[in-house]
Amino acid sequence: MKSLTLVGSGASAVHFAETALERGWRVTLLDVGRARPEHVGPELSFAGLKRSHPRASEYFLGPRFEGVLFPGAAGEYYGFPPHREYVFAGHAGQPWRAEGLEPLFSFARGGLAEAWTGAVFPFRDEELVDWPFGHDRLAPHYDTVARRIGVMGVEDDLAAFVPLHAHLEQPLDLDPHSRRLAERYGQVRGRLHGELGVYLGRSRAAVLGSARPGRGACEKKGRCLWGCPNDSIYSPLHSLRELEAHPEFQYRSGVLVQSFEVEDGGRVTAVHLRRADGTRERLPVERLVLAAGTLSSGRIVLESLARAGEPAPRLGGLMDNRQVLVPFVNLSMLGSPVEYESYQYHQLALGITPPPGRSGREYVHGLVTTLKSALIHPIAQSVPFDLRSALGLVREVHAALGLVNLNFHDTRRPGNALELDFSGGGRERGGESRLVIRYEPEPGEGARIADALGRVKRALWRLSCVVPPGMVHVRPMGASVHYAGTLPMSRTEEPRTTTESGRLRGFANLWLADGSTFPFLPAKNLTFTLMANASRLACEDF
Amino acid sequence: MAEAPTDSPALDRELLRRECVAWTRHLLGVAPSPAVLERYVDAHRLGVVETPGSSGNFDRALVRLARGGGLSARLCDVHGRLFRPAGLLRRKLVLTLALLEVDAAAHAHVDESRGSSALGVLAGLAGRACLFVLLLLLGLFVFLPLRLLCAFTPSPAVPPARKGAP
Ligand SMILES: Cc1cc2nc3c(=O)[nH]c(=O)nc-3n(C[C@H](O)[C@H](O)[C@H](O)COP(=O)(O)OP(=O)(O)OC[C@H]3O[C@@H](n4cnc5c(N)ncnc54)[C@H](O)[C@@H]3O)c2cc1C
Ligand code: SF4
Repeated sequence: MKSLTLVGSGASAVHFAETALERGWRVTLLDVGRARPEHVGPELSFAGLKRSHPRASEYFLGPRFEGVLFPGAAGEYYGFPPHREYVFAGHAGQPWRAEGLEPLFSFARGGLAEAWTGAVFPFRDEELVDWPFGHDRLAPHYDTVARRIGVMGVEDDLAAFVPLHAHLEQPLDLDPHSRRLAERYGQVRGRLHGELGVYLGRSRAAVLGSARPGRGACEKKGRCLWGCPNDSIYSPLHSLRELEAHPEFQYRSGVLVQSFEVEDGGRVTAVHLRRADGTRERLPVERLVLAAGTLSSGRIVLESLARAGEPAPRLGGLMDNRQVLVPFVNLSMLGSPVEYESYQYHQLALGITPPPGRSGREYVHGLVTTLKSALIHPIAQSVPFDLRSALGLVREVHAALGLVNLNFHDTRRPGNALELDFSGGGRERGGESRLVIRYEPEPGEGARIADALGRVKRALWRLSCVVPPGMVHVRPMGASVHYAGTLPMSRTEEPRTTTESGRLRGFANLWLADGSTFPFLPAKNLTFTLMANASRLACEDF
Repeated sequence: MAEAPTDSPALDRELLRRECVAWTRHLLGVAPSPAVLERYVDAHRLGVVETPGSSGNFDRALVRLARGGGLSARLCDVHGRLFRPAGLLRRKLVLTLALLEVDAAAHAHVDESRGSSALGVLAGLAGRACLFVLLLLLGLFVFLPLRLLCAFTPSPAVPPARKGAP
């Protein structure tokens, strides 16, 4: 039987694996794979946990108070709950140094999407002009992935920018604040489109409104950020559980893939693993598919090139979406009660057209999240009053608070690169090197942000919302965790590129199946396309 | 202005409990539950509250004054917001709020939304802003001389954060 070895258990890897199994391949999946802890009080809602769980304080704030956002700390309004640390915890064998980008890695079973917000927006032709194919090649795979994971959405004004696909399920009812925004949009949409180029619609989200085997329907428990106890929000872990039932699938967790070995002619013969106990192993492979996330896959390639004698290997073109957070107060919601038992994440999304004369790929994408269940202390301390007054104010305006998360596209530039640093003597001593990540924003980024921000603020005003002065936050690069572009698909034979089917040029049996292969990064959240593209790749050379 | 030494656990616990009571009354007008008191003390024992940048003489003086509760706590809170936004008092107050908002007995006081009309909210906002400015000016009379005094007193060392459970 044909067999392949796949690295990673994130969104990219599991959909590659699923399609490959369907096509008759035997799949061995290698993964560090840190396990998710059990859900605390799964039957309880956000408020219920506070009301009746004896360890609610440790759950929300952490045993060492890691979840308390102290004044002056570098956290954001939505800090990550301490018990989800397993998603982002680093790996001792994977040191790194970064300039201009604050990277997040995941060595969790299910990868970063164990903590994602489930936004799934297909790319359209305008955004794929730098790709070697258009939307039609991805379309059947968007359908497949939507069927597998469960996607909510409707055809509305956003469909002009977000292609439709099969298996769209009825979205959850809007929370009261999102409903108010949508109603107001209905009254002013003509002006928003014509004067500002701003469109609003239902968000597309990988969340279940009705139960399926192994996953429950969303019951509006308001714990999304803390980890959905119903498994309503899709995680690659759900796919992994299904894969494990397949007779031709083998999952090996607790192994770090460090490099691969190549014989003359560019044939990969084996991978070098580091087991959890620190011992090493050489594992022969027939075909190798890297889907360990752009940064980790890049590192494996660099280590292997260095191993093969390349003095200073380098992968250019690293991309990431810049994100800008725009908090707002909806004046028409002032004084309304908060509905804590609500779905916590974005239910609406914004499409912002590029300025006149600019290409369609400069579309800006926004997610609109209204504030429901949330910890209050990070918000209260940011109000420019004493804490007592601030708390009183937050209680009055809580139901009126919301946040637009604007995402901007990125392009490949040679200076933004992954390299290895052997200055610690790693190579000579057979030890670890340090991954070096360099990133500089595109010149002119500031003007693009200012243009979109200006239009979004005016649109919010038309929707009866104000943006408090001084509260807009340009997130550091790396924060969106949408990394891509280091080994792009290309029609032309160039070194450090992959074919349309993801095979790395110069290698006979090595494929990349994650964001590494993206030649351009649209503003829309990339993971739906990661999954669809991985499924496509598993159909092309496999 | 010198504090009791922080390495005296018995004295510390009592002092910390008292201040937690003062902050809770200041923020919510109620008494903290035993669980909140215990976690508040724990946070101090683990060393996550005091940091070198937050715990100068003046910060400690603000904490001492604020422990008195009532108007004194309010004045210190207002002054701290503007002049020591990441200082020791604010760190203690924010910690207390974090503990209260997830506490079975207190969370409802934090989470309850004060339903009122939009006009009422705006009027309340204006009222809060006026009061804030008033208290700020009042506080300046007290705190400026105190700041000067503290500037000429040597600062105590901050104990490092402790690893692991106490
Ligand atoms: C808070 C947050 C919210 C997000 N929200 C969204 C969203 O709403 N929409 C969206 O599109 N995207 C979102 N993202 C981004 C999304 O999570 C990622 O794009 C996606 O999960 C990447 O998947 P991946 O499989 O390519 O890589 P990863 O998720 O990084 O998976 C990597 C996998 O490889 C394994 N691995 C890594 N290195 C090695 C190695 N050397 N050896 C063996 N195994 C290894 C890891 O254990 C892991 O299983 C969000 C991310 C975060 C953090
Ligand atoms: S509201 Fe969030 S946490 Fe609750 S059931 Fe729905 S998706 Fe899960």
